[in-house]
Amino acid sequence: MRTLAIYGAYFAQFLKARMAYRADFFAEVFATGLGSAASLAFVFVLFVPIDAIAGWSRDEILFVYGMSMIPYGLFATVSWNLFDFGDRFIIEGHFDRVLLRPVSSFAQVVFEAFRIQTLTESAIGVVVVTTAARRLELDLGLADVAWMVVAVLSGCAIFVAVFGTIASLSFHFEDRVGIAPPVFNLINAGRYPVDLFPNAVRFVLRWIIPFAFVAFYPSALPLHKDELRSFCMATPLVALVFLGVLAYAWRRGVRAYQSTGS
Amino acid sequence: MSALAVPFALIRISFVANLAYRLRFYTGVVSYLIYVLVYTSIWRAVYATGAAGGPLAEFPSFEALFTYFAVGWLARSFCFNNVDRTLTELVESGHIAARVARPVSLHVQMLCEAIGEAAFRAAFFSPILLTVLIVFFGFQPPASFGSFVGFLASLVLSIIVMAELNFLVGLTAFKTQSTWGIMRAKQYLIELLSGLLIPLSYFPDALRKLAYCTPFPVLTSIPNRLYLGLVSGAEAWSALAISAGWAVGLFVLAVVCDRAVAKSLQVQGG
Repeated sequence: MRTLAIYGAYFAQFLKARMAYRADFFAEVFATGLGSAASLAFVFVLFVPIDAIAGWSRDEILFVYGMSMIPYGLFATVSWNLFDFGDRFIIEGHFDRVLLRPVSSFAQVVFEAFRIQTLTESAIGVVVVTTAARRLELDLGLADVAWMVVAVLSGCAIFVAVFGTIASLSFHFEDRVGIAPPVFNLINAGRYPVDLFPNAVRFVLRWIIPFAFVAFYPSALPLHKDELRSFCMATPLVALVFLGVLAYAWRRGVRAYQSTGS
Repeated sequence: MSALAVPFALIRISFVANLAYRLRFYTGVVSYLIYVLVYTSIWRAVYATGAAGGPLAEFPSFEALFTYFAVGWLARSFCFNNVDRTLTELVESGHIAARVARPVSLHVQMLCEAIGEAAFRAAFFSPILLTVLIVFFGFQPPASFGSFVGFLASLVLSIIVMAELNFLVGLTAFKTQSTWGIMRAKQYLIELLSGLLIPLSYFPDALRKLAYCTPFPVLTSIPNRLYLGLVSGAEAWSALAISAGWAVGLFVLAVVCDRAVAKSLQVQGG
Protein backbone atom coordinates (compact mmCIF):
# COMPACT_ATOMS: atom_id res chain seq x y z
CA MET A 1 0.00 0.00 0.00
CA ARG A 2 2.80 2.36 0.90
CA THR A 3 4.63 1.49 -2.33
CA LEU A 4 1.49 2.22 -4.29
CA ALA A 5 1.29 5.65 -2.65
CA ILE A 6 4.89 6.29 -3.65
CA TYR A 7 4.18 5.47 -7.31
CA GLY A 8 1.14 7.71 -7.09
CA ALA A 9 3.38 10.51 -5.88
CA TYR A 10 5.84 9.87 -8.74
CA PHE A 11 2.97 10.19 -11.18
CA ALA A 12 1.51 13.33 -9.59
CA GLN A 13 4.94 14.92 -9.67
CA PHE A 14 5.33 14.10 -13.33
CA LEU A 15 1.87 15.38 -14.14
CA LYS A 16 2.59 18.73 -12.50
CA ALA A 17 5.78 19.14 -14.51
CA ARG A 18 4.07 18.11 -17.75
CA MET A 19 1.05 20.36 -17.31
CA ALA A 20 3.30 23.39 -16.99
CA TYR A 21 3.41 23.26 -20.80
CA ARG A 22 -0.26 22.68 -21.48
CA ALA A 23 -0.62 23.72 -25.14
CA ASP A 24 2.41 21.62 -25.89
CA PHE A 25 0.81 18.66 -24.21
CA PHE A 26 -2.37 18.87 -26.28
CA ALA A 27 -0.37 19.24 -29.48
CA GLU A 28 1.38 16.03 -28.52
CA VAL A 29 -1.91 14.25 -27.82
CA PHE A 30 -3.19 15.35 -31.23
CA ALA A 31 -0.03 14.13 -32.97
CA THR A 32 -0.26 10.78 -31.19
CA GLY A 33 -3.88 10.40 -32.28
CA LEU A 34 -2.95 11.27 -35.87
CA GLY A 35 -0.21 8.61 -35.81
CA SER A 36 -2.59 5.96 -34.47
CA ALA A 37 -5.21 6.88 -37.08
CA ALA A 38 -2.65 6.60 -39.90
CA SER A 39 -1.52 3.17 -38.68
CA LEU A 40 -5.16 2.01 -38.48
CA ALA A 41 -5.83 3.35 -41.96
CA PHE A 42 -3.69 0.50 -43.30
CA VAL A 43 -6.35 -2.01 -42.24
CA PHE A 44 -9.20 0.08 -43.67
CA VAL A 45 -7.54 0.57 -47.05
CA LEU A 46 -6.46 -3.07 -47.22
CA PHE A 47 -10.05 -4.24 -46.89
CA VAL A 48 -11.68 -1.86 -49.38
CA PRO A 49 -11.71 -4.32 -52.29
CA ILE A 50 -11.76 -7.58 -50.28
CA ASP A 51 -13.95 -9.07 -47.55
CA ALA A 52 -11.55 -11.28 -45.65
CA ILE A 53 -8.01 -12.59 -45.50
CA ALA A 54 -7.24 -16.09 -44.26
CA GLY A 55 -10.78 -16.35 -42.93
CA TRP A 56 -10.67 -13.11 -40.94
CA SER A 57 -13.00 -10.24 -41.81
CA ARG A 58 -12.07 -6.59 -41.59
CA ASP A 59 -13.98 -6.01 -38.39
CA GLU A 60 -12.42 -9.07 -36.77
CA ILE A 61 -8.95 -7.80 -37.65
CA LEU A 62 -9.89 -4.35 -36.35
CA PHE A 63 -11.09 -5.94 -33.11
CA VAL A 64 -7.70 -7.62 -32.66
CA TYR A 65 -5.90 -4.43 -33.69
CA GLY A 66 -7.81 -2.40 -31.10
CA MET A 67 -7.19 -5.04 -28.45
CA SER A 68 -3.47 -4.59 -29.13
CA MET A 69 -3.60 -0.78 -29.07
CA ILE A 70 -5.05 -0.68 -25.54
CA PRO A 71 -2.21 -2.54 -23.74
CA TYR A 72 0.38 -0.91 -26.01
CA GLY A 73 -0.79 2.57 -25.01
CA LEU A 74 -0.70 1.64 -21.32
CA PHE A 75 2.74 0.09 -21.69
CA ALA A 76 4.10 3.05 -23.66
CA THR A 77 3.18 5.45 -20.85
CA VAL A 78 5.77 3.83 -18.60
CA SER A 79 8.24 2.33 -21.07
CA TRP A 80 10.21 5.56 -21.51
CA ASN A 81 13.10 4.45 -19.34
CA LEU A 82 13.26 0.83 -20.49
CA PHE A 83 14.43 1.78 -23.97
CA ASP A 84 17.38 3.88 -22.86
CA PHE A 85 17.97 2.03 -19.63
CA GLY A 86 21.52 1.04 -20.61
CA ASP A 87 22.53 4.61 -21.46
CA ARG A 88 20.78 6.45 -18.68
CA PHE A 89 21.05 4.11 -15.74
CA ILE A 90 24.11 1.96 -16.35
CA ILE A 91 26.55 4.04 -18.38
CA GLU A 92 25.63 7.36 -16.73
CA GLY A 93 25.45 5.61 -13.38
CA HIS A 94 21.95 6.72 -12.32
CA PHE A 95 21.31 3.21 -11.05
CA ASP A 96 23.37 3.97 -7.92
CA ARG A 97 20.71 6.45 -6.87
CA VAL A 98 17.97 3.88 -7.51
CA LEU A 99 19.68 1.29 -5.33
CA LEU A 100 19.85 3.69 -2.40
CA ARG A 101 16.07 3.79 -2.07
CA PRO A 102 14.06 1.11 -0.26
CA VAL A 103 11.63 0.51 -3.15
CA SER A 104 11.84 -2.11 -5.92
CA SER A 105 14.53 -0.97 -8.34
CA PHE A 106 12.58 -2.15 -11.39
CA ALA A 107 9.48 -0.21 -10.36
CA GLN A 108 11.56 2.90 -9.79
CA VAL A 109 13.03 2.69 -13.28
CA VAL A 110 9.65 2.06 -14.89
CA PHE A 111 7.75 4.73 -12.98
CA GLU A 112 10.31 7.48 -13.17
CA ALA A 113 9.21 8.92 -16.50
CA PHE A 114 5.78 8.83 -18.06
CA ARG A 115 4.46 9.56 -21.50
CA ILE A 116 0.77 10.09 -20.82
CA GLN A 117 0.01 11.29 -24.33
CA THR A 118 0.27 7.65 -25.48
CA LEU A 119 -2.93 6.94 -23.53
CA THR A 120 -4.52 8.45 -26.65
CA GLU A 121 -3.59 5.19 -28.36
CA SER A 122 -5.40 3.19 -25.65
CA ALA A 123 -8.45 5.42 -25.95
CA ILE A 124 -8.54 4.94 -29.73
CA GLY A 125 -8.12 1.21 -29.11
CA VAL A 126 -11.22 1.18 -26.90
CA VAL A 127 -13.22 2.98 -29.60
CA VAL A 128 -11.98 0.57 -32.28
CA VAL A 129 -12.80 -2.51 -30.19
CA THR A 130 -16.29 -1.35 -29.27
CA THR A 131 -17.09 -0.24 -32.83
CA ALA A 132 -15.82 -3.52 -34.27
CA ALA A 133 -17.77 -5.49 -31.66
CA ARG A 134 -20.97 -3.64 -32.54
CA ARG A 135 -20.50 -4.15 -36.27
CA LEU A 136 -19.82 -7.84 -35.71
CA GLU A 137 -22.94 -7.94 -33.53
CA LEU A 138 -20.99 -9.62 -30.78
CA ASP A 139 -23.14 -10.11 -27.74
CA LEU A 140 -20.51 -9.32 -25.12
CA GLY A 141 -21.55 -10.39 -21.66
CA LEU A 142 -19.99 -9.50 -18.36
CA ALA A 143 -17.72 -12.55 -18.57
CA ASP A 144 -16.41 -11.44 -21.99
CA VAL A 145 -15.67 -7.95 -20.72
CA ALA A 146 -13.95 -9.33 -17.64
CA TRP A 147 -11.87 -11.56 -19.89
CA MET A 148 -10.94 -8.60 -22.07
CA VAL A 149 -9.71 -6.73 -19.01
CA VAL A 150 -7.59 -9.75 -18.08
CA ALA A 151 -6.32 -9.83 -21.68
CA VAL A 152 -5.34 -6.16 -21.60
CA LEU A 153 -3.49 -6.60 -18.31
CA SER A 154 -1.76 -9.70 -19.65
CA GLY A 155 -0.82 -7.86 -22.84
CA CYS A 156 0.66 -5.05 -20.78
CA ALA A 157 2.55 -7.58 -18.67
CA ILE A 158 3.95 -9.27 -21.79
CA PHE A 159 5.21 -5.95 -23.15
CA VAL A 160 6.78 -5.01 -19.82
CA ALA A 161 8.31 -8.48 -19.42
CA VAL A 162 9.82 -8.59 -22.91
CA PHE A 163 11.29 -5.08 -22.91
CA GLY A 164 12.25 -5.26 -19.23
CA THR A 165 14.18 -8.47 -19.86
CA ILE A 166 15.95 -6.87 -22.81
CA ALA A 167 16.78 -3.84 -20.65
CA SER A 168 18.20 -6.14 -17.95
CA LEU A 169 20.81 -7.37 -20.42
CA SER A 170 22.43 -3.94 -20.08
CA PHE A 171 23.64 -5.00 -16.62
CA HIS A 172 25.88 -7.62 -18.21
CA PHE A 173 27.12 -6.01 -21.36
CA GLU A 174 26.94 -2.72 -23.13
CA ASP A 175 24.34 -3.21 -25.85
CA ARG A 176 26.08 -1.66 -28.82
CA VAL A 177 23.92 -3.48 -31.31
CA GLY A 178 20.46 -2.54 -30.08
CA ILE A 179 18.27 -5.59 -29.60
CA ALA A 180 15.14 -3.65 -28.72
CA PRO A 181 14.30 -2.04 -32.13
CA PRO A 182 13.71 -5.26 -34.11
CA VAL A 183 11.72 -6.68 -31.20
CA PHE A 184 9.71 -3.47 -31.11
CA ASN A 185 8.92 -3.88 -34.79
CA LEU A 186 7.48 -7.32 -34.09
CA ILE A 187 4.66 -5.75 -32.05
CA ASN A 188 2.87 -5.01 -35.30
CA ALA A 189 3.01 -8.66 -36.36
CA GLY A 190 1.03 -9.58 -33.24
CA ARG A 191 -1.92 -7.58 -34.58
CA TYR A 192 -2.71 -10.03 -37.38
CA PRO A 193 -3.68 -13.72 -37.48
CA VAL A 194 -0.48 -15.69 -36.83
CA ASP A 195 -1.42 -18.24 -39.52
CA LEU A 196 -0.51 -15.60 -42.10
CA PHE A 197 3.15 -15.83 -41.21
CA PRO A 198 5.86 -18.37 -42.06
CA ASN A 199 6.56 -21.06 -39.46
CA ALA A 200 9.66 -19.42 -37.99
CA VAL A 201 7.86 -16.12 -37.36
CA ARG A 202 4.87 -17.96 -35.93
CA PHE A 203 7.13 -19.85 -33.54
CA VAL A 204 8.80 -16.65 -32.34
CA LEU A 205 5.45 -14.88 -31.87
CA ARG A 206 4.15 -17.74 -29.77
CA TRP A 207 7.01 -18.88 -27.63
CA ILE A 208 10.03 -16.53 -27.75
CA ILE A 209 8.58 -13.02 -27.96
CA PRO A 210 4.95 -13.89 -27.30
CA PHE A 211 3.26 -10.93 -28.98
CA ALA A 212 0.64 -13.27 -30.46
CA PHE A 213 -0.69 -13.51 -26.89
CA VAL A 214 -1.07 -9.74 -26.55
CA ALA A 215 -4.21 -9.43 -28.64
CA PHE A 216 -4.61 -12.14 -31.28
CA TYR A 217 -5.11 -15.21 -29.09
CA PRO A 218 -7.06 -13.54 -26.26
CA SER A 219 -9.48 -12.07 -28.83
CA ALA A 220 -10.50 -15.60 -29.80
CA LEU A 221 -12.94 -15.84 -26.88
CA PRO A 222 -15.04 -12.72 -27.61
CA LEU A 223 -14.78 -13.42 -31.37
CA HIS A 224 -15.95 -17.03 -30.91
CA LYS A 225 -12.95 -18.51 -32.71
CA ASP A 226 -13.29 -21.84 -30.95
CA GLU A 227 -10.38 -23.52 -32.69
CA LEU A 228 -8.03 -21.06 -30.92
CA ARG A 229 -9.61 -21.56 -27.52
CA SER A 230 -6.77 -23.43 -25.81
CA PHE A 231 -4.20 -20.83 -26.91
CA CYS A 232 -6.61 -18.12 -25.83
CA MET A 233 -7.03 -19.51 -22.33
CA ALA A 234 -3.26 -19.79 -21.90
CA THR A 235 -2.85 -15.99 -22.19
CA PRO A 236 -2.61 -15.10 -18.46
CA LEU A 237 -0.30 -18.06 -17.91
CA VAL A 238 2.04 -16.90 -20.70
CA ALA A 239 2.08 -13.42 -19.15
CA LEU A 240 2.94 -14.85 -15.72
CA VAL A 241 5.71 -17.06 -17.10
CA PHE A 242 7.33 -14.14 -18.92
CA LEU A 243 7.00 -11.93 -15.84
CA GLY A 244 8.85 -14.71 -14.00
CA VAL A 245 11.60 -14.57 -16.62
CA LEU A 246 11.80 -10.81 -16.11
CA ALA A 247 11.99 -11.14 -12.31
CA TYR A 248 14.79 -13.68 -12.61
CA ALA A 249 16.71 -11.70 -15.26
CA TRP A 250 16.37 -8.46 -13.32
CA ARG A 251 17.55 -9.97 -10.03
CA ARG A 252 20.58 -11.51 -11.73
CA GLY A 253 21.26 -8.22 -13.43
CA VAL A 254 21.15 -6.18 -10.25
CA ARG A 255 23.49 -8.67 -8.61
CA ALA A 256 25.93 -8.27 -11.48
CA TYR A 257 25.70 -4.47 -11.44
CA GLN A 258 28.99 -2.67 -11.06
CA SER A 259 28.73 1.05 -10.73
CA THR A 260 30.74 3.21 -13.09
CA GLY A 261 31.72 5.13 -9.98
CA SER A 262 30.89 8.48 -11.46
CA MET B 1 35.23 24.37 -55.89
CA SER B 2 36.03 25.83 -52.51
CA ALA B 3 32.33 26.58 -52.06
CA LEU B 4 31.75 22.86 -51.84
CA ALA B 5 34.67 22.14 -49.53
CA VAL B 6 32.68 22.74 -46.32
CA PRO B 7 29.61 20.67 -47.27
CA PHE B 8 31.92 17.92 -48.48
CA ALA B 9 33.77 17.91 -45.16
CA LEU B 10 30.45 17.78 -43.27
CA ILE B 11 29.28 14.86 -45.38
CA ARG B 12 32.55 13.04 -44.72
CA ILE B 13 32.24 13.59 -40.94
CA SER B 14 28.70 12.19 -40.97
CA PHE B 15 29.85 9.18 -43.01
CA VAL B 16 32.68 8.42 -40.58
CA ALA B 17 30.45 8.93 -37.53
CA ASN B 18 28.00 6.36 -38.89
CA LEU B 19 30.87 4.03 -39.63
CA ALA B 20 31.89 4.16 -35.96
CA TYR B 21 28.44 2.97 -34.91
CA ARG B 22 28.00 0.46 -37.70
CA LEU B 23 27.18 -2.38 -35.29
CA ARG B 24 23.69 -1.05 -34.65
CA PHE B 25 22.93 -1.30 -38.34
CA TYR B 26 23.15 -5.08 -38.15
CA THR B 27 19.99 -5.32 -36.07
CA GLY B 28 18.59 -2.86 -38.58
CA VAL B 29 18.85 -5.65 -41.14
CA VAL B 30 16.75 -7.85 -38.83
CA SER B 31 14.21 -5.04 -38.44
CA TYR B 32 13.83 -4.66 -42.17
CA LEU B 33 13.54 -8.42 -42.65
CA ILE B 34 10.69 -8.40 -40.12
CA TYR B 35 8.95 -5.57 -41.97
CA VAL B 36 9.28 -7.36 -45.30
CA LEU B 37 8.15 -10.70 -43.84
CA VAL B 38 5.13 -9.31 -42.00
CA TYR B 39 3.78 -7.15 -44.79
CA THR B 40 4.45 -9.55 -47.64
CA SER B 41 2.77 -12.32 -45.62
CA ILE B 42 -0.32 -10.14 -45.34
CA TRP B 43 -0.17 -9.32 -49.06
CA ARG B 44 0.25 -12.97 -49.99
CA ALA B 45 -3.10 -13.60 -48.29
CA VAL B 46 -4.64 -10.58 -50.03
CA TYR B 47 -3.32 -11.72 -53.40
CA ALA B 48 -4.77 -15.18 -52.73
CA THR B 49 -8.28 -13.73 -52.36
CA GLY B 50 -8.26 -12.91 -56.06
CA ALA B 51 -8.20 -9.15 -55.62
CA ALA B 52 -5.37 -9.37 -58.14
CA GLY B 53 -7.78 -8.95 -61.03
CA GLY B 54 -8.90 -5.50 -59.93
CA PRO B 55 -6.76 -3.08 -57.97
CA LEU B 56 -3.62 -5.24 -58.21
CA ALA B 57 -3.94 -5.75 -61.96
CA GLU B 58 -0.69 -3.97 -62.72
CA PHE B 59 1.21 -6.73 -60.89
CA PRO B 60 1.15 -9.72 -63.23
CA SER B 61 2.31 -12.15 -60.52
CA PHE B 62 2.80 -12.30 -56.78
CA GLU B 63 6.55 -12.12 -57.45
CA ALA B 64 6.05 -8.69 -59.03
CA LEU B 65 4.07 -7.55 -55.99
CA PHE B 66 6.72 -8.99 -53.68
CA THR B 67 9.39 -7.17 -55.65
CA TYR B 68 7.44 -3.95 -55.20
CA PHE B 69 7.58 -4.29 -51.40
CA ALA B 70 11.15 -5.60 -51.23
CA VAL B 71 12.39 -2.70 -53.37
CA GLY B 72 10.33 -0.28 -51.29
CA TRP B 73 11.92 -1.34 -48.03
CA LEU B 74 15.33 -1.47 -49.67
CA ALA B 75 14.90 2.09 -50.91
CA ARG B 76 13.78 3.14 -47.45
CA SER B 77 16.82 1.51 -45.85
CA PHE B 78 18.87 3.74 -48.11
CA CYS B 79 17.03 7.07 -47.71
CA PHE B 80 16.17 6.86 -44.02
CA ASN B 81 17.80 9.28 -41.60
CA ASN B 82 17.35 10.60 -38.08
CA VAL B 83 17.71 14.33 -38.76
CA ASP B 84 14.48 15.05 -36.84
CA ARG B 85 15.69 13.11 -33.79
CA THR B 86 19.13 14.71 -33.93
CA LEU B 87 17.59 18.18 -34.03
CA THR B 88 15.32 17.36 -31.09
CA GLU B 89 18.24 16.15 -29.04
CA LEU B 90 20.30 19.22 -29.93
CA VAL B 91 17.48 21.51 -28.81
CA GLU B 92 16.81 19.56 -25.61
CA SER B 93 20.46 19.50 -24.59
CA GLY B 94 21.09 23.12 -25.61
CA HIS B 95 23.96 22.13 -27.90
CA ILE B 96 21.91 23.71 -30.65
CA ALA B 97 23.43 27.08 -29.68
CA ALA B 98 26.89 25.97 -30.79
CA ARG B 99 25.43 24.59 -34.03
CA VAL B 100 23.56 27.77 -34.87
CA ALA B 101 26.69 29.80 -34.15
CA ARG B 102 28.61 28.00 -36.89
CA PRO B 103 29.17 29.93 -40.12
CA VAL B 104 27.21 27.28 -42.05
CA SER B 105 23.43 27.32 -41.69
CA LEU B 106 21.76 24.66 -39.56
CA HIS B 107 19.90 23.52 -42.65
CA VAL B 108 23.08 22.85 -44.64
CA GLN B 109 24.60 21.07 -41.64
CA MET B 110 21.63 18.74 -41.33
CA LEU B 111 21.33 18.15 -45.06
CA CYS B 112 25.01 17.18 -45.18
CA GLU B 113 24.48 14.88 -42.23
CA ALA B 114 21.64 13.16 -44.08
CA ILE B 115 23.67 12.81 -47.28
CA GLY B 116 26.61 11.39 -45.33
CA GLU B 117 24.32 8.87 -43.67
CA ALA B 118 22.82 7.92 -47.02
CA ALA B 119 26.31 7.37 -48.43
CA PHE B 120 27.12 5.17 -45.45
CA ARG B 121 23.89 3.26 -45.88
CA ALA B 122 24.50 2.80 -49.59
CA ALA B 123 27.96 1.42 -48.90
CA PHE B 124 27.38 -0.77 -45.84
CA PHE B 125 23.73 -1.27 -45.00
CA SER B 126 21.61 -1.62 -48.12
CA PRO B 127 24.00 -4.12 -49.80
CA ILE B 128 23.68 -6.46 -46.78
CA LEU B 129 19.91 -6.16 -46.84
CA LEU B 130 19.89 -6.67 -50.61
CA THR B 131 21.98 -9.83 -50.26
CA VAL B 132 19.79 -11.22 -47.47
CA LEU B 133 16.61 -10.47 -49.43
CA ILE B 134 17.96 -12.14 -52.57
CA VAL B 135 19.23 -15.20 -50.67
CA PHE B 136 16.05 -15.74 -48.62
CA PHE B 137 13.36 -14.59 -51.01
CA GLY B 138 14.72 -13.63 -54.40
CA PHE B 139 12.99 -10.90 -56.32
CA GLN B 140 12.76 -9.64 -59.85
CA PRO B 141 15.51 -7.55 -61.46
CA PRO B 142 14.63 -4.06 -62.77
CA ALA B 143 12.47 -4.00 -65.88
CA SER B 144 15.23 -2.58 -68.04
CA PHE B 145 18.52 -0.73 -67.83
CA GLY B 146 16.70 2.53 -68.41
CA SER B 147 14.21 1.87 -65.62
CA PHE B 148 17.11 1.05 -63.28
CA VAL B 149 18.80 4.36 -64.05
CA GLY B 150 15.51 6.17 -63.50
CA PHE B 151 15.09 4.30 -60.20
CA LEU B 152 18.56 5.38 -59.01
CA ALA B 153 17.94 8.99 -60.06
CA SER B 154 14.63 9.10 -58.21
CA LEU B 155 16.30 7.62 -55.12
CA VAL B 156 18.80 10.47 -54.98
CA LEU B 157 15.87 12.91 -55.03
CA SER B 158 14.17 10.81 -52.31
CA ILE B 159 17.16 11.38 -50.04
CA ILE B 160 16.71 15.14 -50.37
CA VAL B 161 12.94 14.94 -49.82
CA MET B 162 13.38 12.67 -46.78
CA ALA B 163 16.09 14.90 -45.31
CA GLU B 164 14.05 18.08 -45.77
CA LEU B 165 10.89 16.51 -44.33
CA ASN B 166 12.84 15.36 -41.30
CA PHE B 167 14.47 18.75 -41.01
CA LEU B 168 11.08 20.51 -41.02
CA VAL B 169 9.69 18.06 -38.45
CA GLY B 170 12.84 18.51 -36.36
CA LEU B 171 12.41 22.29 -36.40
CA THR B 172 9.19 21.90 -34.41
CA ALA B 173 11.47 20.98 -31.49
CA PHE B 174 12.21 24.70 -31.23
CA LYS B 175 8.56 25.37 -30.47
CA THR B 176 7.37 22.34 -28.52
CA GLN B 177 8.72 20.47 -25.54
CA SER B 178 8.57 17.01 -27.04
CA THR B 179 8.51 15.97 -30.69
CA TRP B 180 7.95 12.28 -30.02
CA GLY B 181 4.32 12.30 -31.18
CA ILE B 182 5.01 14.40 -34.27
CA MET B 183 7.86 12.14 -35.35
CA ARG B 184 5.66 9.10 -34.89
CA ALA B 185 2.77 10.63 -36.83
CA LYS B 186 5.17 11.54 -39.65
CA GLN B 187 6.47 7.98 -39.74
CA TYR B 188 2.98 6.45 -40.06
CA LEU B 189 1.85 9.02 -42.61
CA ILE B 190 4.93 8.33 -44.72
CA GLU B 191 4.45 4.56 -44.48
CA LEU B 192 0.83 4.86 -45.58
CA LEU B 193 0.88 7.64 -48.19
CA SER B 194 4.24 6.82 -49.81
CA GLY B 195 2.93 3.48 -51.02
CA LEU B 196 5.37 1.56 -48.83
CA LEU B 197 2.70 -0.58 -47.15
CA ILE B 198 0.05 -0.44 -49.87
CA PRO B 199 0.66 0.26 -53.58
CA LEU B 200 -1.10 3.52 -54.44
CA SER B 201 -3.01 1.77 -57.24
CA TYR B 202 -4.81 -0.23 -54.51
CA PHE B 203 -6.05 2.95 -52.77
CA PRO B 204 -9.63 4.21 -53.15
CA ASP B 205 -9.64 7.13 -55.63
CA ALA B 206 -10.06 9.91 -53.09
CA LEU B 207 -7.20 8.70 -50.92
CA ARG B 208 -4.95 8.21 -53.93
CA LYS B 209 -5.57 11.78 -55.05
CA LEU B 210 -4.80 12.96 -51.52
CA ALA B 211 -1.55 10.95 -51.50
CA TYR B 212 -0.46 12.47 -54.80
CA CYS B 213 -0.92 15.95 -53.31
CA THR B 214 1.76 15.13 -50.70
CA PRO B 215 5.51 14.66 -51.21
CA PHE B 216 5.31 11.12 -49.77
CA PRO B 217 4.92 9.14 -53.05
CA VAL B 218 8.35 10.50 -54.00
CA LEU B 219 9.82 8.27 -51.28
CA THR B 220 8.50 4.89 -52.41
CA SER B 221 5.87 4.87 -55.10
CA ILE B 222 7.83 6.75 -57.76
CA PRO B 223 11.15 4.86 -57.37
CA ASN B 224 9.32 1.52 -57.24
CA ARG B 225 7.20 2.15 -60.28
CA LEU B 226 10.30 3.17 -62.20
CA TYR B 227 12.12 0.01 -61.06
CA LEU B 228 9.28 -2.29 -62.10
CA GLY B 229 8.80 -0.47 -65.40
CA LEU B 230 5.19 0.42 -64.49
CA VAL B 231 6.03 3.87 -65.78
CA SER B 232 8.36 4.40 -68.72
CA GLY B 233 9.12 6.83 -71.51
CA ALA B 234 7.51 10.26 -71.16
CA GLU B 235 5.67 9.14 -67.99
CA ALA B 236 8.99 8.27 -66.39
CA TRP B 237 10.33 11.72 -67.12
CA SER B 238 7.27 13.37 -65.61
CA ALA B 239 7.59 11.10 -62.53
CA LEU B 240 11.19 12.26 -62.13
CA ALA B 241 10.06 15.85 -62.62
CA ILE B 242 7.58 15.46 -59.75
CA SER B 243 10.37 14.09 -57.53
CA ALA B 244 12.66 16.96 -58.51
CA GLY B 245 9.88 19.49 -57.95
CA TRP B 246 9.29 18.27 -54.40
CA ALA B 247 13.01 18.14 -53.67
CA VAL B 248 13.46 21.76 -54.78
CA GLY B 249 10.23 22.96 -53.15
CA LEU B 250 11.01 21.40 -49.79
CA PHE B 251 14.60 22.65 -49.99
CA VAL B 252 13.39 26.23 -50.43
CA LEU B 253 10.82 25.83 -47.65
CA ALA B 254 13.53 24.46 -45.34
CA VAL B 255 15.82 27.42 -46.12
CA VAL B 256 13.03 29.87 -45.28
CA CYS B 257 12.06 28.09 -42.05
CA ASP B 258 15.70 27.73 -41.04
CA ARG B 259 16.24 31.50 -41.33
CA ALA B 260 13.06 32.28 -39.39
CA VAL B 261 13.94 29.90 -36.57
CA ALA B 262 17.57 30.97 -36.34
CA LYS B 263 16.45 34.59 -36.07
CA SER B 264 13.92 33.95 -33.30
CA LEU B 265 16.04 31.48 -31.33
CA GLN B 266 16.67 32.34 -27.71
CA VAL B 267 19.09 30.18 -25.78
CA GLN B 268 19.26 30.23 -22.04
CA GLY B 269 22.73 31.18 -20.88
CA GLY B 270 24.73 28.99 -18.55
